[in-house]
Amino acid sequence: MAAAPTRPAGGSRLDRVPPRVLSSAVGIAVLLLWELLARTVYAGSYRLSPPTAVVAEFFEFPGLYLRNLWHSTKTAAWGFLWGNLAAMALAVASTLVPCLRRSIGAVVLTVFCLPFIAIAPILRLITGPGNATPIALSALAVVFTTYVAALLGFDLAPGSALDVVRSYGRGRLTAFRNVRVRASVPALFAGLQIAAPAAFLGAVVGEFTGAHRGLGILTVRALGALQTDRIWVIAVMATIVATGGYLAIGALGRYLCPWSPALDVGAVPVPRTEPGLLNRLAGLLAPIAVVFVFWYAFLWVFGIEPFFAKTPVDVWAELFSVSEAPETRSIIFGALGTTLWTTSLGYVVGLVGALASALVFILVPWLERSLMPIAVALRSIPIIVTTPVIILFVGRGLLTTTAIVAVMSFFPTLVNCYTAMTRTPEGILDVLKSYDATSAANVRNAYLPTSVPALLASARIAVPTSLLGATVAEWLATGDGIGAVMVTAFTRNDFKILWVSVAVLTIVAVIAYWLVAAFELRTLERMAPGISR
Amino acid sequence: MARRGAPVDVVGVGRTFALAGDEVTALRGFDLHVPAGGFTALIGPSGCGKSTALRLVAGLDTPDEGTIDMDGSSPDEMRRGQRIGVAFQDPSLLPWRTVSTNIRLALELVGRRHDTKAVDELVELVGLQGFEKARPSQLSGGMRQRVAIARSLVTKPDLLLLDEPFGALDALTRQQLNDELQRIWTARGTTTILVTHSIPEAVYVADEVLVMSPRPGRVVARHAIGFERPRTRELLLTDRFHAEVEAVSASLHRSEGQVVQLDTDPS
Amino acid sequence: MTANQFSRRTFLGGTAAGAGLLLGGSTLITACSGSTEPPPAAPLTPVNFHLSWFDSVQFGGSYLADANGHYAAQGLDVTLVPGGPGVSPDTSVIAGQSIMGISAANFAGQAKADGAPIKIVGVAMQRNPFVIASLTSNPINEPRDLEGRRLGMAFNNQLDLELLSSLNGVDVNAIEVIQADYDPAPLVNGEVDSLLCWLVDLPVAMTVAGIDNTTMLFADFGYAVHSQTYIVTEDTLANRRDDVLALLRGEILGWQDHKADPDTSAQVTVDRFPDAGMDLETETVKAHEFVKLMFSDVTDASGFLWWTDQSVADNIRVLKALGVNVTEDFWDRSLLEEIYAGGPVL
Repeated sequence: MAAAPTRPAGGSRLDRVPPRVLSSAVGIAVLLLWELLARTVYAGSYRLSPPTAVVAEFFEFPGLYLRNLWHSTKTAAWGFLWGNLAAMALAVASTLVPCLRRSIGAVVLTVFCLPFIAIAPILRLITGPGNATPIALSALAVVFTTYVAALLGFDLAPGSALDVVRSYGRGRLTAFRNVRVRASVPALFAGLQIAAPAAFLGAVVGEFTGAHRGLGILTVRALGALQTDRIWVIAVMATIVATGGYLAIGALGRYLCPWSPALDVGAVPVPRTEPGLLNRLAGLLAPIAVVFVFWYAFLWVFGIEPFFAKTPVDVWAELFSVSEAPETRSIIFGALGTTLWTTSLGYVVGLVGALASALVFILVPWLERSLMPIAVALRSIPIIVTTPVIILFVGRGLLTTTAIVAVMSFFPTLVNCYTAMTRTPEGILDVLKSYDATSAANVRNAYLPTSVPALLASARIAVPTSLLGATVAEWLATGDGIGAVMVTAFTRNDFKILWVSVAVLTIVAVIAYWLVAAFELRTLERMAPGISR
Repeated sequence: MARRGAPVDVVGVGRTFALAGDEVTALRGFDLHVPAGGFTALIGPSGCGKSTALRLVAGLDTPDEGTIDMDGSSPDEMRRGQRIGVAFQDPSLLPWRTVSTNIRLALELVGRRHDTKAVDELVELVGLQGFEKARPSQLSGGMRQRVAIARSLVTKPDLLLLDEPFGALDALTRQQLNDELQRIWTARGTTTILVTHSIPEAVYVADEVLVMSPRPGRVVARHAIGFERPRTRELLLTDRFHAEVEAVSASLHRSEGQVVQLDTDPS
Repeated sequence: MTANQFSRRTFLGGTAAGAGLLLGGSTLITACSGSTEPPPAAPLTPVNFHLSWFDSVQFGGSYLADANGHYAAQGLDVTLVPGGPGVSPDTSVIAGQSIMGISAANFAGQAKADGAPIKIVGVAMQRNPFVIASLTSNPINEPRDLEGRRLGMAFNNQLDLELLSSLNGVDVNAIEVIQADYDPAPLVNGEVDSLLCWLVDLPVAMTVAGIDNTTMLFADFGYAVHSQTYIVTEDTLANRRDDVLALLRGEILGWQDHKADPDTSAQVTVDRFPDAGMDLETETVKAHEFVKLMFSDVTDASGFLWWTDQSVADNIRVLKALGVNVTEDFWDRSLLEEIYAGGPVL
């Protein structure tokens, strides 16, 4: 009916400034401040390069930067392609053969929870030299989110449309072709948007297993050679490319399905489980069995030699029955404790900070309009590129892990929560406004509850990504925790410890994911299904 | 009957929106006068600015031109004084709250959180006894609307603004709720403005029916409805009711300058 | 090549091809990479040689061996596989993907102690390149100076630090260790007083950046761990001895070229990897530093890659202190003895 304003009418005159002008003004202000800080407080500190120096550095070696960027981007693009194709194939299988869904889901989740830095050398072992390991890692990095997104997309197909197909006597396949595929496009593209920076991360971690070129290698070289300008050029380039990819995929999605509103896969609630203890138990055990089958199959198919290959039985023995088991346990669980502590601190700081920022944005619209584009850009930066920059600022203490995890969980959660808040039903806001409700009352009664599903979904997705960020940080920066144990293990060729760490960390990640998912389900059920629409 | 509530005087109000690069004038030269305790229905073709008018009166939006006065107060002052109750076509309940806590929301917002008596009274008034602990998702559409109406009334507002609150309901439920609305209005005597698509509904519940022109909307015809209260369903079958409906319909027809789809729901 | 070796290589080739199909065919590149020169009379044997770090003048002799045709003259088509922080060359060698790899006695020794059938057949760095680097204004000249100071180092080096401390009667708990890896900035910024790093790495970067620094070589204080050691599997030694001999000969010739003209080696390295963004000045300084680490009285007398029985005894003792138990048979000098039968220079 009437074109009512979608946001609470703010009192600020800044709200009348066109968004583009405001964003540019804030952007210019940030650049000026950056330049000023770099030239004064941080001068000669090898930490912050002024923007002018960053630009100058780029134009001094444009070929070098563009070639490395092109190489990493190409690797990421291959991984993106293969990973997404695999994810979609798995999603199709899960939709057409529903009884497979649980097991496929478990395997895909497990793969998502695998610590990259530890499987990179194992992948290198299988693929040998060349670009296959970076591509494979890049592919593995995108499978889960795309799988979840595609599955959601297929499920979002309107039931009535499916019934129409069925009423003509056609089967599942026809329904799939004619209805589900089309219906899945918006959710799928939301997933692909998230996959783009993840693919980049995989490619760069892959480069660390040996390559001649790429942004990851250039970064490590630059850190060792005091080339601060170079680190900043790489960070800025990666940001531009990642944001560009994010926006381009979003635009393509809108072009392909203009009828649909933007969807965010991060805001998707978990699927419900069937009730009943037996169902739940079967639902739990079957996937675990499938994961173990995959573990053995992996070792067998690739014929990995016993020196490298450890089976679940080996891992169990290493942890519980061999004579060094108590020592192994104390190493692994001690390190795990450190990792979990720093990670959960960063995770909570990231989530709470994101929620608070989303609330500030919704209450102060001009702030949102000037800063949100920056947040969207930052959310798509691969962590591997942020890490050196964070190291430059925070140093290499335990705080670094916390900071990196916080950054990793902050931006996606902020964007998801804010988006959910903007979808607060207008009627509710009008009712509140008609009683002249205070901002606090609006937050309590409308914005906060409406953003809860998005917050919980983000929190769930952030579990494995936080642990991934933590292990990368521990590897590159802090030298603490399970990440350090894994790296030490493979540089010292201690494959027993390596497999044990991978297994333990993966199990912890999967359990943490399940716990958050269970909490999410319970909360959503209590808050009534209406809210999760 | 003790009449309470504020008289509403709207003079020469205009409102223009920027929409997708275009300017859309929703209202121009819109006048409205509702006496204290009066019940006025606004009717008009789709998109004629009925809801905009209501939002302006509620202080949810501000006019570009013209004045709105209620008992010496502006809509914004009325809103800030928490003297208004609103209900929309979408009941806009908080899904995580129960029936009684949804009703209590309005009390919380006006700082009377502990007035449980008022909540109980309204639950009874809208006939939801036994459902106090239910959540909106467990209620039928009609029951949700009753909760919304109860919420709009619980603060004992001086002005009740209803924007097609029964628009999405089936004819039978709708008639039932109209009966209850009339009963509540009779009991409370709050100044009420009802926006509706349904001519029979407007004629059945209101003292006065105002017919609006297509966009930009303004009032083009007024029909005083003189039926004695309480009005009952028998009235729907009478010739004078039909005559009144025909008259309003004719006004609407003239205002649109084209064939009007008559809504003859309440059979 | 034995049947066992053959089948494993075939199998790995098969999986690599399978992975290649899956991953865009990129792995196939390795199989056919190498020289684009016109083929010589006899076909070259393709081998992978796994380096221990990213492309760097640290492997300058190998690049010269390739550029100057020493490998080809030995009948080999050598692919120099780069290392990195996320890969272990030992793994590649043990898995049979690389015929030879560059490791350090402590890392390779760990694998050996865990049952990996590998041997050291050459030692490039006579003196271990670990140093404690400090600013000249606040120097660390001997291990004792570390007490009460802040030391930035990679977590992997804790055992090395403990060993250095115990060898020199230093209380390791009196050293405040802060994680710092691949990055001299903490020292320059004063967050630490010293860094544990490679002589040819961060100190050179600081020198090039105009920052005066002091280095204290671990090797001068009893830390006798062979570094940049060439490792092969026992299986390879038994069945592909000639290929290993040929590869070692090529290496030795390349490094003799490097020693004769480190500047050219640096130039060749920088030109060979235009995408690495290397700085010629830095690499030249490093090229000269590597000569100091890799050549000594021992190599002058016996040849590049040579080691003495005394240094093996020292290594065994030091490695034992590091928790790595190996015996003399971890080192196999028979290939070098064969190569250098005619004298210490090829």
